[in-house]
Amino acid sequence: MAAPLSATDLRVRREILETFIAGHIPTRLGVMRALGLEYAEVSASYAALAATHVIVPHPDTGEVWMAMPFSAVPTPFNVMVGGRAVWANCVWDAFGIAAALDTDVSFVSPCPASDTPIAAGVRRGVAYASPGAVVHVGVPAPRWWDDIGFT
Amino acid sequence: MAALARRWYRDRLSADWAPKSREVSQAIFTAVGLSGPFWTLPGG
Repeated sequence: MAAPLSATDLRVRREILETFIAGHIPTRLGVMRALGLEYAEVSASYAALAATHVIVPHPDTGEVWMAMPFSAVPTPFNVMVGGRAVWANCVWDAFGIAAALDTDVSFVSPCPASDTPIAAGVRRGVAYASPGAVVHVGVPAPRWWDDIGFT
Repeated sequence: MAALARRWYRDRLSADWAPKSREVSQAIFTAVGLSGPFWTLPGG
């Protein structure tokens, strides 16, 4: 079991999410400067947050790849929220951005099977999607974290 | 999916946010009608 998150870990987590919400991609350097922390402290918090599945660092760079519901890299889920565009990791997370921010969102994502654009979102607090749209969850919950990038 | 996302993420920016326990996460799936081995989290 992962160790409990420290107060610093929680501050780092919050800064990561706020950076995404502002429409930017978080970096360890940016978090360090924003919070007045040492680089090693931020790196340690990244490790703690990754161990608890709060963030997923990119395997090559160590920077945030995912901080659910946000993605640092382009995905098929480009979500419009408050006049800004952010990337969600999946349709679950696209709707999750609306829930986390308690606001409306919209996104258009291609059907993986037919490439037909599917419009969906939350309007005045009510979720909607193109008629006939279905969500396919391809990986069972016990195996989600075997390869979270694929999931 | 929107109902699941709402329950899963609505506390994400709360000041008192903490990681969900396995039990709480599993209860969210159950509450929106997702059950069975496919939706059983590790350790269940």
